Amino acid sequence: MAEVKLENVTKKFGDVIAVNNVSLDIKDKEFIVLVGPSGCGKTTTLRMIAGLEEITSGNIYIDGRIVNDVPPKDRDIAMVFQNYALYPHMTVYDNMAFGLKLRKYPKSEIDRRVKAAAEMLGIENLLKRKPKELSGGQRQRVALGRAIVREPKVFLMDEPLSNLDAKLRVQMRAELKKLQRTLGVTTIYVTHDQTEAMTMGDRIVVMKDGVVQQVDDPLTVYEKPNNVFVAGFIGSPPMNFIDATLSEDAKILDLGSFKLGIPSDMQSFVAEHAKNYLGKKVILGVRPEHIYEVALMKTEDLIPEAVADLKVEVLEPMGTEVYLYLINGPVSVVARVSAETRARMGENVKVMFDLRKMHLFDPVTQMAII
Amino acid sequence: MKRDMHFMTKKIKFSRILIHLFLISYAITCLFPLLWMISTSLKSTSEVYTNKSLIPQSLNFENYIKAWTEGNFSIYFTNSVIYTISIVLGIVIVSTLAAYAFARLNFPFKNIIYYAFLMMMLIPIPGAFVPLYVLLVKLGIQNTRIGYILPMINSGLSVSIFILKEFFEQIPKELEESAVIDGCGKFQVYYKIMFPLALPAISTIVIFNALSAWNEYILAAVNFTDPNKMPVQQGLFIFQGQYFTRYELLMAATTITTLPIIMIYLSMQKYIVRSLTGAIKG
Repeated sequence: MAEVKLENVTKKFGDVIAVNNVSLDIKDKEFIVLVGPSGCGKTTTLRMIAGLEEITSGNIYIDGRIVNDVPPKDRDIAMVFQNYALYPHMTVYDNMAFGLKLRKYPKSEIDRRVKAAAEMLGIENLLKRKPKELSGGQRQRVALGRAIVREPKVFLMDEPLSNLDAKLRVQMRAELKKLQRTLGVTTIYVTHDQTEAMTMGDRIVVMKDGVVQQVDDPLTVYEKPNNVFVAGFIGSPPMNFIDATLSEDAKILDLGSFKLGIPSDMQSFVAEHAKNYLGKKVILGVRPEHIYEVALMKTEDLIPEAVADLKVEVLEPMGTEVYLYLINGPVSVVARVSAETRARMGENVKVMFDLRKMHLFDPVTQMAII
Repeated sequence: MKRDMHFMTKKIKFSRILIHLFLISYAITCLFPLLWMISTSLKSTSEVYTNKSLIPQSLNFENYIKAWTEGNFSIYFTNSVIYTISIVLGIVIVSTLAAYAFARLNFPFKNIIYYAFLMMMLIPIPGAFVPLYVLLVKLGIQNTRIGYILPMINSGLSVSIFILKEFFEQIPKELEESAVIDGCGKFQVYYKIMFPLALPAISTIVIFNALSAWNEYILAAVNFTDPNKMPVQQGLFIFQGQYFTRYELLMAATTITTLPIIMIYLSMQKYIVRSLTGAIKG
């Protein structure tokens, strides 16, 4: 078990900066998820920790030791690849035993570890098969088994669930998390799927263009995003962003086609935290679940100043809830409401924006104000 | 509508018959010389000229014994076995290493060197005989086994490297990276992962080069003056006289020379099909 530390790590491919000055402290036994869109540098960061990519500058520490020039095999890490990378010419047993054989472990120890890992993953009956005779889920388990038998200090996982179908992915997500808890191995997990990141990680590292945008536990990242990118990337459907003007007295947000009144108990908070933005343009961020259908609300919860009338453009029933795509002039938002909604496509619906849970962002720097 | 369908089915059936007829006649043209060779090898000297049928009147297996013993055929056969194994082994070792390097490693002038190898494919082997002969003499290896084996390895390299490079490039890089993390060094990645995975392509190379080495005739004639070092194709000449050819012995000898190649092909058929159709999946 080990701590992993990245200190101002940069990776350049020619003139392109793939990873820019990344610093991270990953605690022992922590499950950390690197998440971001394609090309954000998450996989490159993982590959640098693995030793598969040389770092351009900075330092990587595993268990307190600088590993910049240490070859992958001596870093005491195990990696699970997106396409599993099982050796097609070897049986499942040989695939799992390969790393141990190379390290010249005694046969009895190899056998013990392979069988223990196979039992843990429920693949004891597959040990004599070749990878081509396995399903996607089974291959995934073998790839995990290959990592487990090594008993490494750190697990590195590069989108290991992305080749599985949706149902199996959800199942494996939970199993993987449980497995990591049982084994207590520091795990660095790369994914582009924000749901995976939210559900699995003890902490999430959100990346964009090679730069770390935010490192926090999932709930904090969701509730207090650092900037517009994080706010928009985490959450499904994503947060609504609306260009607005904050009034001088911090009481009103003017959205162009309509105005929203900030609740009286919030006004002093807004005035204090957004004092440089009074009378200026801001970006209002509201999560879809924080736009309520007035018809379904209790009267005592209603704040009339925050109510607006919007037209239902599209209505997406999702089973237990419904996504309403609403429009009013330049304002276009998605609301996540109960399945009991009375809204109808093409008709207008009254909704209340819960400004107690609003986010304000600087329109130039895109950084969070509130 | 029904009539149209009927007409179309008829048309498809007719084209199928045509295709099958073509394939059957092609197979016959390929098989006939082989059958004639085996049939003649079992006939007596007089029957060769009198019995035109493919079925011999009596089976003269002694032709094989005569061919083997009378013409020192055992020496030529042994020579050919030595040459073929050495040449194929040499080509497999050098071409797999070179192709792996061309496919996966980065080194200066990689592409120039690779294209230089490819250009060798464009030079017909007899075109290089004069400079090759001079080189062999200057190196003092003319009329030696090594003086025959080395140029033969060289002549098989370019095509083999080309085939293997393409094959290595198809193998997912993650397999190598996984092996590196598992603890393999560069050379271990090559022989523990890449080499076994390339077996289908290597089999193709083994077959083609074994065939070419076994059937080689001209370079042996250029290089060797000592009859005891000649390969089997040169040995066949013994049965071809100036005035009279012993066809039954010549065909028995030819059958013997053909057998090893057929056996190699049959034993590696599975890999050849895979090399032409299969991809590597991890």
